[in-house]
Amino acid sequence: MNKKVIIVVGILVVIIIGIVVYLFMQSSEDQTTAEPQNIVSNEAQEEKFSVSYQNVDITPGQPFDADAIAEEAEYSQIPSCAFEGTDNVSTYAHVEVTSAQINGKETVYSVYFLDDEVSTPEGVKITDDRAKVIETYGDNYEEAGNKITYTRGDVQLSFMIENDVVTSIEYVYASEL
Amino acid sequence: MKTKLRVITIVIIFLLLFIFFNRLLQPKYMDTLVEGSMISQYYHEPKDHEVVFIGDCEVYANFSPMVMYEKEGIKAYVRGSSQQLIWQSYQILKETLHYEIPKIVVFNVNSMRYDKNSKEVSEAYNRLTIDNMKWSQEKIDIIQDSMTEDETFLSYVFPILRYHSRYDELTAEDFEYLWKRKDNTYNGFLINKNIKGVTSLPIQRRLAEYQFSEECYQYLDKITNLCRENNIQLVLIKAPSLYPYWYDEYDEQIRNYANEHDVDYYNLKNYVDEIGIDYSVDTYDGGLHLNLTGATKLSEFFANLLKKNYDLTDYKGDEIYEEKLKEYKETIQ
Amino acid sequence: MIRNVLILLVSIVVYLNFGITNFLFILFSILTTYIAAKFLEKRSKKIILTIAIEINAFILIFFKLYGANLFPSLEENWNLVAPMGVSYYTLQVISYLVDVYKGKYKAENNFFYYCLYIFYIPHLFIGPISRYEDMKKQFLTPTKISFTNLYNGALRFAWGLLKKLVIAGRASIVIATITQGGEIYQGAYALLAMLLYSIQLYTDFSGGIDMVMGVSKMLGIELQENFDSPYYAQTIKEFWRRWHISLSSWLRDYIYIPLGGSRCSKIRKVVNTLITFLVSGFWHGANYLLWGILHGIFVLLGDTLKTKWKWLNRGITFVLVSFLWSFFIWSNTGEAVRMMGSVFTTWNIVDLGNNILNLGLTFADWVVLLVFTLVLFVFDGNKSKIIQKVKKWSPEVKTIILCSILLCIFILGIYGIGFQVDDFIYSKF
Repeated sequence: MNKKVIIVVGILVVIIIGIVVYLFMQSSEDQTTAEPQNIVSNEAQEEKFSVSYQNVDITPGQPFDADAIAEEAEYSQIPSCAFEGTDNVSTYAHVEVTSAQINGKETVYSVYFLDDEVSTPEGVKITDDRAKVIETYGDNYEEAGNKITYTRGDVQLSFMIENDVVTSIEYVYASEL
Repeated sequence: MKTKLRVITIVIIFLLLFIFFNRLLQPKYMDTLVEGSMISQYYHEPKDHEVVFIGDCEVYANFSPMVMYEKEGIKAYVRGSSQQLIWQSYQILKETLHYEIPKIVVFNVNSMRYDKNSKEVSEAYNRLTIDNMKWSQEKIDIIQDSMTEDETFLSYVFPILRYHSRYDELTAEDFEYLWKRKDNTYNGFLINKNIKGVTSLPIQRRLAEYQFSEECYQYLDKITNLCRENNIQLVLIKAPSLYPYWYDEYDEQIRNYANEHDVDYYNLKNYVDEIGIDYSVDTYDGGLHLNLTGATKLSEFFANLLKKNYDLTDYKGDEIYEEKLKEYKETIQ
Repeated sequence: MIRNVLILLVSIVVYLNFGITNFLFILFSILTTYIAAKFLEKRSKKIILTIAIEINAFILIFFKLYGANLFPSLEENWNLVAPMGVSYYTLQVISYLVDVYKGKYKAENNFFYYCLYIFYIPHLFIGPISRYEDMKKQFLTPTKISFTNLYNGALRFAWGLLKKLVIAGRASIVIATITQGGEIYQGAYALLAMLLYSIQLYTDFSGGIDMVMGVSKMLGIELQENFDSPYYAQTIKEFWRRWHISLSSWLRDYIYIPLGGSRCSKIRKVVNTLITFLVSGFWHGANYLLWGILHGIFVLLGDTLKTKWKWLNRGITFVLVSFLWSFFIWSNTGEAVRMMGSVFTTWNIVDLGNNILNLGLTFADWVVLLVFTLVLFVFDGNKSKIIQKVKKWSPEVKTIILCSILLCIFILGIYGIGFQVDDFIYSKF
């Protein structure tokens, strides 16, 4: 008898608390007290952007191996005004790659498409229309001015769209440097 | 009673030690990263300048007041600093006006492209501009206007909070300049004799947004008003450089602003041929900043331009400046 | 008395800072247990006790499971965050209820004191887990705030901060490099991470406790000690008498002994011990059950692993404990086991030697880390003697030591831009 009562009451309590917790949560949804967690979780395998030029991987955030690209680039160095370190810009016929030393490795920072001779691995190129972009990459994007940006992992892919035509495409490494 | 006195003495000794370490650990910006010491050199200059420059590296690398003096007898000072953002230029100008009221303030408009959200705003550059400012209302304001998310006001008051990790990076420089500092600019002009001509430049990219932000315009208004209140002629300039690109859309906005607010604007990029700048030899970093030869050409041209258009005194023969000029000439030899 | 009112007010204000939801949770616990205790006093009904404990334990259990990502569907819909200090105050309210039920002391009439006990902000986040009778005694003792107390408290606080910022901060940089560096950091690197984590966790946690004790001391409140030089333990069993004492004794009094303790059959004793350590593991987080069980097994082994050489025993115990911390370093259990294994399979000690300055610390940082760890080691070995001496110091000497510690913290501490010190590790358990 006694045990039964305990079990029943226990279940009731669970239900009541469930409701209470739920109500609390409703009121605290905008609250952002982050739970301190240093758990290095195995992120779910999320889709990432990758991009290559002349079959050489030039995905932002990855090491940049300029020698692997057969084509000779126009090369310019953009120093920062006071500190060590430069942005290294390699301008090829169809893309421009900006790279920099990150943790001692020459790393791709951004990839900028120069004309419609190149397209993203998913098949979008300059001169395509907005619908093609949305159709290919979905509607999970951020829009600012005439630029729409998709973020996957630490790479951002932006399309500039003027008069419904893609006029520029750029990949950028979005990790904080 | 004796105990109390002794305890207080001990505390005072440790406070002095604390102050000592504050100074020791703070970067001296004397032989390395000299860009951090420019702002403070102004304080012990004679304050009788008729022209004061404010702005980013495009002023301190490109305009040599000594050349302007030699050429037209102009007394000028460059209060530039690395990546000086417009809200910082405004405070620096305000601070300058406590010391002197020049006839002309020259502002390089390059920083209009950066607002407080842009990635160019960085703690490291804030430090170069602010660290060595004297304490004043302007310093308090400039810190509050400039701080990035991770920064604290207190770390500007007690630099040890920011620089304590330098304890194992101290060099002879830190001890040598612990109390006294040396000058490493000539009236704010940082000499750079290296030559690295332009070889190639990145493609000029299309931007999503050419419109300067409201925030930057507000500060430009503040600068304009401050000059007007003090009867100072504001001269906006865009220093000649090939990169970062100064878009036509930018140029047009400044032109319009200048017209509407009755200030002058010179896009010196348009005068490159007249000035005689040769980008294969006159730049030290491939087209971003001019080197000594480039800056000399530009300063001569600009001195002439100022002299022609504005009422400036010819100070040629001034003892202090003659002395400075001599020293300057020796240095650039 | 004014002191008590002030403490409660400040505590509540600080706690409210973490959000109203947090506050409602803790208030809920306080109210349910306060009322339940009153009932228990009149009629000692087991059912009231059970329900009250169930309710409060449920909240804790829920958040532990939630923290272990066991409710992915919930996470999507709710932005749920465990109330600050839930792990600590829940144990305190339970101990209060059980003690009242057992008639150890009477239920508190004065709601103010009960609130003060739970809300007392210094111990709310990282313990020690106090008992009501001890705390009430402290609150009732009329203490003048004396210079001696202020000094001793400040010294203890500064010492704790030094441990946290100078030692734990440095160790955490290396550990972060190793855990986030991917595949190459195995074998000797994993071993280094484990040993350093032992040091980090101890200095971080005991440093935090020192700060709690220091503040309390300044307020004239003495709390139970939480550490007794744990890495001087010769067996795991002894380790648990010296490490996080307030948790161990709570588990002993409210889990182990009620289960029957050791005064029953051998098998029952084994089961009881394992259950106790399971609970301990679960209290740290639902991911740490295996860690708890393993500790339980080593405790059961007891003295069998002991040799006749004192220092060898200490070394073995330290290494064992360090190995088991792997579950905390690599929160994924599989990863942790793999890393423990790699210590024996991957021989890259030379590689580690060559790479030691690329792990985030400079040579000077390593020296600082080693020197201060050594100082701590010596201190721990002669704790009681040193504390006796410190108490006898003149105010001048105390001032010099205090100021020196503070100066050390300012210069050598890991804080500020470029250095981001984690929150106290133990506050999230």
